Formats: sequence, structure tokens, C-alpha cells
Amino acid sequence: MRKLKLTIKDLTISFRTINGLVRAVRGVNFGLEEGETLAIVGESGSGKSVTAKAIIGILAGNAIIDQGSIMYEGEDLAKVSERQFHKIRGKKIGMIFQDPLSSLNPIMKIGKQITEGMILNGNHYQNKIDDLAAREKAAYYNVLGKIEYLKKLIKNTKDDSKKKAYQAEIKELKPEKRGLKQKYNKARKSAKVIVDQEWKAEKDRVNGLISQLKAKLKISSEDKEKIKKEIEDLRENLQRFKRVTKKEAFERAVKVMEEVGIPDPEKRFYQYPFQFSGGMRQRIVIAIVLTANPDILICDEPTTALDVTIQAQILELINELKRERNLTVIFITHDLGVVANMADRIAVMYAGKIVEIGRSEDVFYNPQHPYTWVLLGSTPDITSKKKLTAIPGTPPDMLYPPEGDAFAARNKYAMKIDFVEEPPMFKVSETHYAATWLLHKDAPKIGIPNELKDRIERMKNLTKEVASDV
Amino acid sequence: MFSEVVLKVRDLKMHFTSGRGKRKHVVKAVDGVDFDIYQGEVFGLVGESGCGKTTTGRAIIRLYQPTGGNVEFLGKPIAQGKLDMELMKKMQMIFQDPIASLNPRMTVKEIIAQGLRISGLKDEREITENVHNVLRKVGLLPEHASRYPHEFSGGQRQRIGIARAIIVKPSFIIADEPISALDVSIQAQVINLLNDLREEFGITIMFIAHDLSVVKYFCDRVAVMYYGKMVELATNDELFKNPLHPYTRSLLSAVPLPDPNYEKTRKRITYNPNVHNYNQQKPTLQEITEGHFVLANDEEMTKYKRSLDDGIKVF
Repeated sequence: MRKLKLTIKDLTISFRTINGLVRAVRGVNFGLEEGETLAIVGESGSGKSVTAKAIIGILAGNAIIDQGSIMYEGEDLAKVSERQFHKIRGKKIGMIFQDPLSSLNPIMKIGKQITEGMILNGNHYQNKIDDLAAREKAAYYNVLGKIEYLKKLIKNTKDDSKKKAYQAEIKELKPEKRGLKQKYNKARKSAKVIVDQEWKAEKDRVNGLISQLKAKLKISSEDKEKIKKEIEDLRENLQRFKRVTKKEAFERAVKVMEEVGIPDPEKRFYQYPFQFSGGMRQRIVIAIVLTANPDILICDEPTTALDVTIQAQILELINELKRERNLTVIFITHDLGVVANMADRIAVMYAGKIVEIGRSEDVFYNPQHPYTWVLLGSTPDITSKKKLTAIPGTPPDMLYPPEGDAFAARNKYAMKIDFVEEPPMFKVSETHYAATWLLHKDAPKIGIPNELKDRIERMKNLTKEVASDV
Repeated sequence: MFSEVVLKVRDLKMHFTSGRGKRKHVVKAVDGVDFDIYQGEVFGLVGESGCGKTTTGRAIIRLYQPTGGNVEFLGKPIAQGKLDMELMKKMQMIFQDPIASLNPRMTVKEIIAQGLRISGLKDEREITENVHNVLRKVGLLPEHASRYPHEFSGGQRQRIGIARAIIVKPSFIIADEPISALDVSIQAQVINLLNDLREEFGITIMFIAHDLSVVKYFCDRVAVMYYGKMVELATNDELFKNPLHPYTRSLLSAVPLPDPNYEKTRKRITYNPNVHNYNQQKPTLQEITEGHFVLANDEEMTKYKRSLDDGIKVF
């Protein structure tokens, strides 16, 4: 097994609304391996987008993470403070949204939107100081985060005794916080001295070179232009030592735009979003995400607003980038065709829970949960004209999550126990798990519905045909 | 297979102009399309966004005034001149976005009954009865009549849109991407509903879509459009088995299917419009085998024919 990049344990998220708590995510568990693509599928309202938003820390203001953890590089993203998240969001974890038009600013040139992040994060001088004092900073902010988290808990709880306990805890943390702050400030100061020295040395070195060149300029008049250019380059490089300059940002932006397949990037750099087509806009969004060089990429229905040919191009692009940069991808969609194309592993979500998770082949060829069956059966089939198996009814109202299996009310294979007790995750194979009582040893052996079996068989034949054609 | 022609479209043109004088700019959204739609069939119109498929639908139902060409509906010309309201009642449209196409301030009953009222029905009891019947038909309940659109889910809203279209008993429906804004499971519900209605009332449907797997499932004949022109027209099976025009091939090769092994072997073909050499002869829509039309000139025709005979792919 490869290294785990991200581990989500028992994640539970609700939203405060006028009508009460909407339980959007109810205990989601999964691990994300380095370099893999995990697809999350499900109907709208199943909690797939909310899970993704929790990972990147952009949940709406009325969201509460009730419990659970999102472990990433030793940090729990569910408890990290907003200030700390700035260091992770975008830089380590990037996200592409569904609608490329509304994720771009319509009155800002494309180039500026791509370079904005680079320039904002590109103060090498500050970054170096931060790096040197990183350990002290982490310790300080950890305590700060803890306090913030406790304060949030106080705000959300109505129990007075609990409130008091939290307040006492905060009080206990205060002296520790003070000490850590002093330590942090000290570390910063000493770091600044070191960085300043480095900067001065570099500046003196370059200035020396420049004055030499200037002297040369006075004596010889032959290649004046060349020397002047050299001086300019030296000055530019000196600036680059301190921060990302506009010129550098431009060069890097053009490179990334080329990488994502935008023709004529030097010209396109100065255009506005409305001058791009839907597919091109999505490419720009991807370019913006890539400039920060993230290692996890979350794609929230990136192709739903695009048509087939453009969709194919964008999917190919994401696959290519994934290979080149060894990205780990979380891909959210409800299009099972796209899932088959992209995913290494698939998680099927229903009513805030993962009901089935497994490798792509497991879920497509040996689905176990009745919800996965209907989901697969309801996609129009290119090989037959039989009536589609539509799912009767609507998803449950998550204000009042149903008891037992949430899918029971719409499930024609539902048993009595489905309405009483929630099924645990049953193990189908090493890589394949499903939460349905049908997998219990005492349950009737129903097996995959025949229509679905036929369909898998037909698809296999089609695959053979296509393979022999090529 | 089908006998009677319901809709006859000849050389339909829809050009949009913007600016005037030197800056005048003409967009030829639809530039001369011909096709017939027969009684009782589902006619699919596919192509990428911006190829003019929606414009074609809207020009036929006269939401736009066509720039040129003829449209005959049930034997009478409808593309130019004053509209025959009695005749146009027989042609209805279902729109893509079920949220934007229903007036949020009207109750479901008002929305659905509007067509009846416009066509002159005044008896309130009859209207109510009609609305209730049609609601049951599309799988909603009569109680829903007094509610507002925001109280419904996406799939239910699309059912309201369908109810509004079928209450005036049309013989022809233009469905403009009726399912692309819906969830997978709900897509199946709406497709099944359209299928039932078609069987029950013998409604002819023109189905505009960009999702080819839905088109393959639902339509009898399919036309492929590319930049305002029709490039290929054939029966469903024929088109998916023997696609001839390179654009059709590229479109078909881009469809992802829910099967990981198939996806691994699928190779996408890209379409380059420069493969055609139209310097000597302009292409026209020609019939290659019975019912299979393709946009080509004579030189390409022989090439396509050969490939059909040999069963070998040209590209």
C-alpha cells in the first residue's frame, strides 16, 4: 500500500438553519493514497461537495464540524484555525469548481488572476523568516487554534456545565500561550537578523557587479546596449531574490498556460474571461490552481457545465497533469461515465454517508449496495433500449435523518432490519467495502440484479469489440 | 417505418446581426438545414454547444423569426407571415432549465393552465379538471396544483414543464435539453416519463441534447450539427454503427461510458475541419444509403461509400 496522503475519520458536519440542524455529512471515513484518484459519486444533496469543502476549509458560516478528523501531514484540518489554513489552502490543496465563469472575476484580466496568488505568496524575504521560525510558530498557532476551537464549542453548546468546563480549559491554556508567543517573537527576531544578513550580502555582491559594469560603460562605447541589458538583468535578479517580480510572474503564468493547452498565451494573458469559451475558462481555472503547485487537487464537478468534446479534453488534461506532477485527486461528479474514465477508487455517497467504497473495478463489476445498483441502472445504456431503472421517491430530508439504512425507503430489497438499525461497513474484499445488511451472513442471497449483470456482460463484449478494432 | 411527415424543414437559416455600418457582424447560427420529422418518432439533434441546435428548435417554433427557408408543420407553412394560433397549439416546447422556465410567482395550476386560457377555455371547473388530469399523468398529485415552483425538486419541476406542454394536447414537442440540468437518477425518471407519454399519445418529439448516451437510448433518428450545418443524419443504430463524417466520429469517441475497462481502451479522435478539401466543390447533404445522409462533396462521397462497403474506417 502506498503512503496515505489524507485520512478522514468519522467526519460529521451539520448546518444550522432556521428549521434546525441539517445533517449533511454523517460519519465519513476514507483514506487517500498518494497519486491516486478517488471519485465521490452520489445525487445532489448526498454530502459529497460538503465533504470536499471541509477538506479545503471553505464550509459556509453556518456549518459545524461536530466530530471527526481530517489528517493531512500530521495536522487535523478539521480543527485548524482560519489563519493557519491560509498556508494550506491553494498551496497544498487546490480546488476546481463546477462553473468556470463564476469562479473567475469578470472585470479582471486573466493574466492578473493567474499571477495574483504568485505575487501575494511570493515574498521570499518574509517566507524565509517564517520558515526559520516555523517550529515556534506552529507551536504558538496550535495553542491559538485550540483556544479558537474551544470558543466555537462554547458558542455552539447550550449546556452550561460544558461551557464552564471549556472556559476553564481556555484559562489553563492562557499562560502557555503567552510563553509561546514570546518564544515565537524571539525566534522571528533572530531569523530576521539572519535573513537580513543574507539579503545584504546578495545586494552588495550585485551592486558591486553593477558598478563594475557601469564603469565599463563609461570607457567603451561599443556594446552599450548589451551592457545596459546586463545591468537590467542583474537588477531584476536581485529583486527576484527578495520577491516574485511581475516579470517573473508573467513568465511563469505563460508557462502554466501553455501547459494547460491555451494557445497564444502571451496574447491571452491580457484578455478578460468573457473572451474565452467554456472549456478555455476551465483551463484557466486549472492554470490558477496549478501555479501554487498543490499536491492534492479537488475537482468538484469540473465538467458538468461543459459538453462532451470539451469534457473529454479537460479530463485528458487533468489525467495528464496528474501523471506529470504526481497529483492526488479527489473527483466529485454524478456522471458515471466520467468516473469510469478517471477513478482508481470510487466512494458512493448517500444521505451523508459512504455506502460503498472500493476500487473502480470492484464498484463497476461487482457492486454490492442496492443504491449502487440503481445508480448504475439509471444511466442510459448505449447498448440497449430497455426501460431505465429510475430510483423511486426522493432523497431523505436531512433535517430528520431516517433511522436505520437511509436508503431503505427507496430500496425494493429493503428488509425489516433496514428500518431499525444502521448497517455497518461489511468487507467484500481487501479493497471493497459496502454498508448494507444484504451482506450479513443471515441475509437472503439476492445478488446483483439480472439487468445489471446483463449490462456488465454487454459492456464487456463492447470493450472486446473496440479493443479488436484498434 | 414511419409514414406521415409532421415537420418539414427546408434550408432553414437563422442569422443574428450585431452592429451596423462598418462594424456590422453577422453570426450564422443556423445556416441552411434540411430534415423531415415523421409521425411518432423521436428525432435527436446533437452537437456541441454553440453549433445551433437550440436555435434551430427555437426558429421552428417561431421564438425567433427565421432569416430564410421554409418550415412546414402538418402540411402548412409556418416559417413566415402571421402565425396560425390553432395550428401552433399543436407544437409545444420543453425547456432546459426547470428553474428559469417556470414563473416563481405563479402557482403550478396557473402555470399549467395558461396554455388553456390563451386558447380560449374559460370554464374554471373544466380547467381545474384538466390540470389535475395532466398532473396525474406526469406523476405528480392534484394537491400540487396550488403550490409554487420553489417547493418542488428539480425532477418535479421538469415534470411541471412537461405538464404545461402536454395539456393543450400537442402532436409535436420540441424538448430542448430537458434533462441536462438534472441528476442522474432523476434523468432516468424524466426520460421514462417522456417515453410513456410518447407511447400513450403518439407524440412526436424533437429531442435536442449533447449527451450522446441519452440520445442513443431515447431517439429513433439522430442528426448531428456542426457550426450551423447538419453534417450527418441517420437512424440511431446506423449512426452509432457506421458514423461517416469525421465530426460524428470524434463526437462519438468522446462519450465516456460507465465501464472502467472500456474507458481504458477508448481512444478519442479529434476533429480537424481542415481534413476536408472543398476548394473544387462545395459539400451538400447527400444520401449514401437509405435514410443515411452525410455532408460531403463527390470526392468524399466515393471515399465514404468505399469505407461502408469494405467496413473499413477511413480515418
